[in-house]
Amino acid sequence: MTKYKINLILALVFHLKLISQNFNFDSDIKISEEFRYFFNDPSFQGQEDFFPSYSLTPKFNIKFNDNNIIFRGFFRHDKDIRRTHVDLREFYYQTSISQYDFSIGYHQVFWGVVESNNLVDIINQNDAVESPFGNDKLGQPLSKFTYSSKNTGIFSFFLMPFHRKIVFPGKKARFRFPVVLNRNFIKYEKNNKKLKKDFAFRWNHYFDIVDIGLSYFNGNGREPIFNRNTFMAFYPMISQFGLDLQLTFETFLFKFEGIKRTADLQSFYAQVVGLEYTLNNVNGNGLDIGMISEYSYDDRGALAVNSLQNDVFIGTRFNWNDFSGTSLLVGLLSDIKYNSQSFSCDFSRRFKEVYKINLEFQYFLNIDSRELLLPFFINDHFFKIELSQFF
Amino acid sequence: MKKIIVILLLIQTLNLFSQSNEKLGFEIAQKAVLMDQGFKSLSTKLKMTLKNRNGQTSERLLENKILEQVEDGDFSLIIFNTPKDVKGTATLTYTHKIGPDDQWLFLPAVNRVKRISSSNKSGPFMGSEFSFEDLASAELEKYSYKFIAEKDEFKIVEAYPVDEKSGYSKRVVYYNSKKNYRVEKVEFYDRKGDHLKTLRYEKFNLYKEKFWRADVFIMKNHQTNKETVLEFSDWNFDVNFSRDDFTQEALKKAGN
Repeated sequence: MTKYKINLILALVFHLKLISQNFNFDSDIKISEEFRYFFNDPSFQGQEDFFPSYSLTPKFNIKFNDNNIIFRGFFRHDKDIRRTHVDLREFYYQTSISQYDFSIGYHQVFWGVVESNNLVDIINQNDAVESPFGNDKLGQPLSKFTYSSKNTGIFSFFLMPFHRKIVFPGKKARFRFPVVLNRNFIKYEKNNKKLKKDFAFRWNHYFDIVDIGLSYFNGNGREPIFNRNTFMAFYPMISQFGLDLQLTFETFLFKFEGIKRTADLQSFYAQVVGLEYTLNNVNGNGLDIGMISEYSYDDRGALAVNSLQNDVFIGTRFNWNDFSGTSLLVGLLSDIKYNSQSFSCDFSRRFKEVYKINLEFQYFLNIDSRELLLPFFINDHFFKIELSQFF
Repeated sequence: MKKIIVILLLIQTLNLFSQSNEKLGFEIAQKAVLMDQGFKSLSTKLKMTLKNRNGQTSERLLENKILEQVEDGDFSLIIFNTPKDVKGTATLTYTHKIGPDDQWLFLPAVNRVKRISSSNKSGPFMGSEFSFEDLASAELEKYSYKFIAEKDEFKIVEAYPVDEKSGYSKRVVYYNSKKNYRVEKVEFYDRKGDHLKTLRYEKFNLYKEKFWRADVFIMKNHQTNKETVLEFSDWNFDVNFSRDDFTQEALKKAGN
């Protein structure tokens, strides 16, 4: 018996030693200063023009054997009190046994292939105060189980115990409605106390030049349903099937994303079809020029919350592949049915190894009054400069 | 009539001569590949130092994981640790002996895996003097060959890329016949036929009594006078990767 105990202790000590041998800690922090200037007079009372702001993105990961703890936080301070916010972008524990992988905590999950409108991407809520049309997303608490194999692809199951609501901008902010909405403005379709948990599944794989993803989501929708007349909104219970597809013909890419979403009040189909062509090393010095064209269609028509119901995005991406990682994306989004058009421009460049500058410009050439939400933002053209330092 | 016969014979022998040089060139390249076969798995760390014309330098730290394949090309994972704004960016590549490689890119800021076109051969890798094709796994089928000369222990072979998208008209490769045909120097000629770059391999070590690996790669661009130095460390031939360590899920994990 004692011998057995000693063996056990020895085994434990040996195990700990193994852990400490493979123990790895790594941390970083990004500090950014940002200035946004809206050069048109505001539409609503209380809105301001100039928004100086700063943000912190601390990050660390701990790795021991096949276990990981990942943390990525986010804090922003802004003139707009609602944009002053803190979020756990990622904070999870992950463990793997050969091809099986389990993780639990706050996650950022991305699905999809296109550039202008990622329809299939549904796990995370948008961080609307951070960027009304951007890629920033709130961390989603979930547990995830994954099986991955080179031959059969990746199977992922997600269970999400809590739903995260959209945060609306405050009184001073642009990109808001005539009245300042609070989080509880949008209710749930189902009674709050009996909130159903959300479930999702995804399989993705590749065959030669084909990359394919099939996804299913069931639970509280991330996107509210708006009633245009009463201006009431709620998060519906939905189920959604998604398909994303990319064909890679050397420098020519064909992309597709399609969803079928079903809810009691509203069911619809939406899709994005895209083509991307890249001219490599145009100047003999590494400059790549990528041309992107994508068409978005949505059954809901004018009721599409993101207003991409019949729109074409045409963009050009310049990638210098230089010392400083200089890149520029210029894009024009045009509504085919309505007379709406917006122009955007995004430039970034690194300097002195640890600094990065980011310039962004957005201009609404025209907004059709028949659009659902866009008319509220008609004066919200802006120019943004962001300076980041990495530690 | 006699003259014609002589000329024909001459052409014939010249033809035979050049044919045999092509065969010899191929055999040397093949020998180098065969001698290096069987390393199975490998992981290394590397430091990339970029030097511009004025001697200013900039460093990038990377990790590289390779799984050897025999039937088709190797699998590889490259993870970027610096510059910090791109930390965690990683690429997964399935090299193919014939046709374009399959390649994915992981972008950590948005947690996105993107299938990317691998046909950008001639563009620079991270602003360095190495192009993507310089760093791709050396598959025999990607070139045709011609033996040029023998100098001391070196056999010099010209390799002509099969892919039209290659940035080179030829590479002149120096194989050391006394050291398992390891490559010690490569001269690159651009599409116009001008001497563009020279790559030197230095500080060789022998691993597992069979595999020669250089710790230092020096790439000098003669047209711009810029230079990139790769310094490898932490060579590990005992990592024992499997094919399932090279999935898109593994790519995400590598970058996180």
